Amino acid sequence: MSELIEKLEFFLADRGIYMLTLILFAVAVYGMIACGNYMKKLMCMNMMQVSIIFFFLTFGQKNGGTLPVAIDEVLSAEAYINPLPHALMLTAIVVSLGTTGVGLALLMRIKDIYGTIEEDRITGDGGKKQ
Amino acid sequence: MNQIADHLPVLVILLPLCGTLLCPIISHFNINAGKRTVITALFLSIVCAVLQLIQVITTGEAIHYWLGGWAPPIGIEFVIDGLNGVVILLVAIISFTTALYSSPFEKLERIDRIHSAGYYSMLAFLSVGLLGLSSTGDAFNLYVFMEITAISGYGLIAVGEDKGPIASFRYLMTGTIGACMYLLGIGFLYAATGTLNMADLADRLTGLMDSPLIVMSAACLIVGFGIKMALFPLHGWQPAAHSYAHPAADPMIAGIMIKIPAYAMLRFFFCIFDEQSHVMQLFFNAIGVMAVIGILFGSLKALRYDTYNKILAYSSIGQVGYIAMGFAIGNFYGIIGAILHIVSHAFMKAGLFYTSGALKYKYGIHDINELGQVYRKMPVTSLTMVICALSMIGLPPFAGFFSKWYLALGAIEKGNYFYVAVLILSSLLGAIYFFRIMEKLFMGEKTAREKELPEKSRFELPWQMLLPLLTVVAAVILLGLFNAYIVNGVLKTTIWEVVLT
Repeated sequence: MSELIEKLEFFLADRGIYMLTLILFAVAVYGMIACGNYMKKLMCMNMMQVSIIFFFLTFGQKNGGTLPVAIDEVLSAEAYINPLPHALMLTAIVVSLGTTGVGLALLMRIKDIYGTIEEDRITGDGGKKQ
Repeated sequence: MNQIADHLPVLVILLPLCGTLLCPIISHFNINAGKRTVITALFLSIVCAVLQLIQVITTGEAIHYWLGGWAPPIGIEFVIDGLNGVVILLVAIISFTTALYSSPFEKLERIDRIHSAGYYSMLAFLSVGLLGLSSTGDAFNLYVFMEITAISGYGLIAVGEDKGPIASFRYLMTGTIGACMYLLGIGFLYAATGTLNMADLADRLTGLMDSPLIVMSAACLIVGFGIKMALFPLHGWQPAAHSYAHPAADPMIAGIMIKIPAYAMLRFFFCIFDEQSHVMQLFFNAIGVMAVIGILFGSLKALRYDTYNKILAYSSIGQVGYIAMGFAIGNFYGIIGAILHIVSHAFMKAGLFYTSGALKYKYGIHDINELGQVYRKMPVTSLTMVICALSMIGLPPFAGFFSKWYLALGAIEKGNYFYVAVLILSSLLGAIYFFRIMEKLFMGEKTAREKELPEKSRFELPWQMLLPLLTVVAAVILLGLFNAYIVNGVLKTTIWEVVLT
């Protein structure tokens, strides 16, 4: 039984986490295509960006590594996890914040012009413009 | 002076960035001073771009600029060689002329200082993104510049006409998927090699080209760049975004915002990946199929519309197909054709959108049916339109002819006559939709127009708008006439040394 749990743990750490990230990515892209509400689309876009961030953080991880902060007793690079993906993802988080901000500002403009943020009412007959 | 010369690659980008940041502050005190700051910064950026291109040509070596003095595999570097020196100069020229071109629109719309400051900041920021995209030598840095370009582009599309915000929001959705796919591709590359520097990546990838990580990475990069450059099945955002963007910023958005990702794609697929490997040959075939369908689709769709901007936007889908076709051909002539098409199409499409903006400015014309007899009132605009259109069709001696000529030479050398047939067919389709516009312009009946500006100035348009038009005409003719000098003097050695190794 304990062997099985060990195998399961190994599988989850080795492959499972990537599969979960992939599922998150796929769900988010599906949501961006399928949702009719622009706000929901924007939220799905955020989910997609988060899934990419998870992906980077996951492959930066390794077994038995500690935080990449220099400790006096530990000198070898083997003992630390790779800090570069974390640094890259800090930048990516800032970028995604900027994108979300622009998206929200655009939604306000759309709401002002059309009076709604439902896609079918803007493109269909319900919108003010048509 | 010597010290400044050492820092040219970063000054090209830093000057517009200073313009972006200073413009809102200065505009708070004086609206014209803020605008002039941006225009001056963009002009100085052209000067730096010219100086660094001269330096590259005279020394014959690429400039490697280490940001902050950190050595490349760890630090970020800018690499300027003959190839991207030309692209940077192109971006700088079109950014400057577009900033100049925008100022009369401001008086027309009577906008307040917050909007004016925001508009010029975004324009300079777009230029920062595009210049950075073409000069960086680091894969993640390229992502950051790509997002800078995209975010300022969203803003400039949204301040346009009524449908602008919707077009911009759709572009935001699609563009973010593109950026995420690019980031995913970079993630795979980093996981396989442990580096992000482009030269270092190329070294470490030599034996790895068959690994599934690299195959996935190349696939993700095709989708990422394909969305940004509006390659055929991924072009959904492009027609609306290019049609409804702010008329003054449109030349820059339509002219260069879809070309620079194409240049970045060239960097990745020829400089980093090994283009001779079996895997890449398969990917190039896929790109070729997308390009061919895109060329025919864009040209046929352009026939359907009467709105001037829509015709130009769909024609861009076809023209981006030519660039991708150059990658798919993949030999010396194909690459030359693709690069020349990046440069010449940027000028031609920017020129056509300058005329579109001028027509909107003076008469409020959107539809080509209202163009009748406009040439009597606006001779320079009509001349620009005719020259750019002839160049788009591919008549010698204009720039557009030579890029198509090199593409055809490359396709013949590779023995792929199908591409040649597509080139000829799409040129004929291009002739049909551009002659339709010219027929309306010269032979159409004069129709009632929405508005007409009173004749105040001596010329047909303010000089700030005439100068960009004339620059584009000169560029299209000179790029055509001095084509051999550009290919032999600047591009040839770089392509043999950097791209096809």
